[in-house]
Amino acid sequence: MSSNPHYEFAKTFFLEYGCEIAEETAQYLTIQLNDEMDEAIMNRPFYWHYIKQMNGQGQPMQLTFSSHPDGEGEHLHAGTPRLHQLYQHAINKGKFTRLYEDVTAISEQASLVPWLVVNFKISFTGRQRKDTIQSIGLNLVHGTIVTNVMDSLNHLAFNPAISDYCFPLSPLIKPQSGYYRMLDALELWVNDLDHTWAEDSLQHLNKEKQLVNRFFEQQNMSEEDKQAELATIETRFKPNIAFDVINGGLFYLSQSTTANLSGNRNSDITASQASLK
Amino acid sequence: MKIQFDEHYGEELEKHLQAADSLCNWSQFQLAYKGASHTIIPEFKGLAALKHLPALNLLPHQAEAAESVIHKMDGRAILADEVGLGKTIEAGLVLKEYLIRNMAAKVLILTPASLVNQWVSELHSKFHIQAIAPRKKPLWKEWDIVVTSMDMAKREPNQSEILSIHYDLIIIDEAHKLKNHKTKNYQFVRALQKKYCLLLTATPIQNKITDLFNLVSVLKPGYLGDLSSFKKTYREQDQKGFGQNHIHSLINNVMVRNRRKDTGLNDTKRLVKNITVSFSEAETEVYQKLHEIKTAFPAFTYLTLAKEMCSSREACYMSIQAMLAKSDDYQHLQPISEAIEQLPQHAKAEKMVEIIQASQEKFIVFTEYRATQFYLQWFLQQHGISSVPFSGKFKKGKRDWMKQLFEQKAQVMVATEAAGEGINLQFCRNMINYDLPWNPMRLEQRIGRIHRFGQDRDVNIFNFAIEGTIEEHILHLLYEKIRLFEGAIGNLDDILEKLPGGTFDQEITRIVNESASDGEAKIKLDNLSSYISYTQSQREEDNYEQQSSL
Repeated sequence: MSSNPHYEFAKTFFLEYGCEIAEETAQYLTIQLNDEMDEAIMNRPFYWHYIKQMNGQGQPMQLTFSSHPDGEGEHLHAGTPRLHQLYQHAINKGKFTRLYEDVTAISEQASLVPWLVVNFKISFTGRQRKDTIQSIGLNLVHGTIVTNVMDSLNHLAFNPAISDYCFPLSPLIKPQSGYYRMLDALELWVNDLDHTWAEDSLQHLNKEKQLVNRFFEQQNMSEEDKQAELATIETRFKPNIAFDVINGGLFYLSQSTTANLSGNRNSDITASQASLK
Repeated sequence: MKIQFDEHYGEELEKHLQAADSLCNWSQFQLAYKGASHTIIPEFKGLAALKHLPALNLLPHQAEAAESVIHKMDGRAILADEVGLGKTIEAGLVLKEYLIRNMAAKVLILTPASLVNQWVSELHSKFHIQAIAPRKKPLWKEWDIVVTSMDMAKREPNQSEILSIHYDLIIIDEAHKLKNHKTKNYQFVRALQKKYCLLLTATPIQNKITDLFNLVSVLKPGYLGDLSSFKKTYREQDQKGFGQNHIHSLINNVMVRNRRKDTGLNDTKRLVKNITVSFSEAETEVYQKLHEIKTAFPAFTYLTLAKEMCSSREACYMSIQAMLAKSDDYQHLQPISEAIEQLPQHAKAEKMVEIIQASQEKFIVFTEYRATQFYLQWFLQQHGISSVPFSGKFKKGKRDWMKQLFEQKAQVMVATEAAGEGINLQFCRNMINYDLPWNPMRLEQRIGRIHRFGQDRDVNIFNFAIEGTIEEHILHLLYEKIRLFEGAIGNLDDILEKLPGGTFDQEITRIVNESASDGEAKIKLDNLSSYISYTQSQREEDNYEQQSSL
C-alpha cells in the first residue's frame, strides 16, 4: 500500500477499533470489520436489529480501499464521505482520557506530574469562516499553561495504567477549575488577535440592515417580515468566535517531559496567562 | 463580539474520570485529534472544496463563479451563466464549500419537477453530497439536504412546514420563473427563511428589466430601491446618455454571468441554415382561407391558426375541431376543416425527412405542438427512420429512458418545447427547429441542449419557415437581422429589456394583429429589427470605445 496519509489513517483507525486486515497488497487494502464497526459505519440498522432480535450471529462486511482512483474498492482522498465518517467516529470515541507516560526505561522510582491537556477547535465566523486548533496543557500542580502540547507528546508512549515503580503526584488544582483557567487564558489571547475580519463583517451587517430598514419603510411592509429579514442578516454577518473541545484528559507526565513542555511557554497564550496573575 | 465557550467540558471530564471504561487509550486519543485536524478550514479565503473534489473537472470560470458568490456576494447571488456553461456545477460547488466550512447544514433545493432526480444524482456523483428527493411523506425538519419541486413545496401541509424552517441555503433552479412578483411562487420564495440563497437562470432578463429587479429583491430586498424609482433612475440615466453603468455595477454585486464567448468555449461553432419551404398549392389555399376569416374572430385566433398551419395540418385541425365544439360558427370553420382533411403531407415534413436521410447522424427536432410531434413521428416511421418522443411533461423514468433510447437506438428525437430545460444531449449535434418560438430566449434554451459544455463538434441548426407566411417574417426578423444564432444572445439581454412596447413576443403579436396587410406587418417588423440592430451596434461601439480608452 502506498504511503498515502489517508490510508495510514484508515489502517490505524480500523486496527485500533478491533478490525483486522483481510488482505493487503500494493494496490489495495481489505479490512474485515467487526460487529461494532459494521453497525457504526455501514448504515444497515435493520440488518443488525434483525440479527439481535433473532439472537443470531451477524456477518460483518469487508471494506476495500484502493490506492488508485480507478482501482477496485474505495479510493480515499481528502473529502471522501468515508474518511469523514471515520473522522467523526474517531472524534466521538476519543473525547476523554486518563493516561500515564510509559517510563519503563527509567530504572529509579519516578513521580509523574498531573497535567490537564485539552485540544480546542476555535472557529471564527463572520462573512466567512475559518478554524484553528489550540492544544493547551495546564500543570495541575503549578498552574503553568503551555501550548502546542500534542506536538510535544505525539512521539511518546502512554498507558492507561501507571508504570511499575512510578507514582502519581496528586493534582492541587481540580481538572474542572484547571479547565476554567484555560478558558480565561484563551479569552485574553483571542482578544489580542487581529479582528479586521470581524469589523468587516460588522460593517456589512450594518449596511445590509440599513438597506432593509429603508426598503420596508418605503414599501409599508409588516414589522414581522422586517424582523425576519433582519434576523437572517444577523445570522449571515454577525461575527462570533466559538471554542469547541475536540478532546482532552488527565495526563501524568514524567519530570523530563514536564520540563520539556515548559519550553512551550513563550507563546501568546502563556503570555496572556502571565497578565492574568 | 460574541465568544462562545464549551462551559461544561471540565465537568464532563471529571465525570468520565470516575468511570475508567469510558476513557479512550492514547492511540484513540491521537486518532480523534488527527481526525479533527483534517476537518478544519484554516483560511477565510479560497475554496476548500477544490481539495475535496479531485475528480471534478472544473472550468476556470466555474471555480471563479463559486468563489465570488461566497467571498464577494456573501452567499446571495444570481448565477446567470448562459445555457450549458455549468450553473449546476457552480451551485454544487458553493453548496459543498458551505458544508465543508460548516456554514450550512439545512439546505433546500427547488427545481422543476423534471430536474429533481438529476440534481440528486449530480450532487451525489460529482460532490459526494447526499440529498433526498421526497416522494410521499417528506420529513422536512429531519432531512438536511432536500431537492424538491416548487409544486410539491407549495402544496399543503408542506408549505407551512417549510416556511417554519430556518434554512441555511436555498437554491432555486430555473429561477426566471420567479420574474413576476405577483405570482404565488414568488411570494412563497420571498417568505422562505434563508441565510444564503442562489437563483439559477440563463435568462435573468426574459423580457423586461423588472424581471431582474424582482429576482434581486428575493436576494436583497431594497438593494435596488423600490420598483418605481428604480425604473425611473434607469430610464433617466439612459436618456442622459450615462448608459446604465451605475445600475450595472450594482447588479454585478449580486449576479455572476459568464458568456460563452468569455469562457473560451467558443471553439465549437453554430452553423445555421435557414430553410424556406414552399406550401403546396392546396396548402396555400387553406392558408388563404384562414386569412379570410381573420375578421370573424378575435385577432389572436387567426394568429394561432396561421402559426399552427405552418407547423402541421394536424395542429391546425385540432384547434379548429376544438373551436367547432365550442361555437356554432360552422359557416366559417367547416370549409377550412374539410379542406385540411384533403391535404397531402406537409411540405416541411418532407423537407425534414430529406435532410435527415441525407445524413447518418442523430437529429433533434423541436416543435411547439403536440399534434405536430405525433405527426412527425408517424411520418418518420413511414420513411423507416426511428424516432423517440420527448416532452418535459414525461416522468423522470420515462425521460431518462427516452434519452437513453435516443443515444443508443433511435436516430431522431422529436421534442416539444417543454424539453427545452434540463436535458443534455451533447452526443447529438444536429437540430431542426421545425417551427420557431417567438421568444429568442426560448430558442437559446433549445440550442443549449446540444451546443453546451461537452459538445466537441460544430453544431448544425436548421430553421424551417414557410415562404410567404408569418413564419418567414419571424425567421427573417429574429434570425437574419438580429443574427441571433451567432451567439449574440448576451447583448440581446440588454436590448430586449429596453423595447418600448413591452415584451418581445407581445410586441410581435401586436404588430401582426394590428397590421391590415402582410406588407404593413413586414414593414413594422423591419422597423423593430432595425431598432434592435441599431441598439446592438451602438452597444458594441460603446464597448469598443470603453476598451480603447483603457
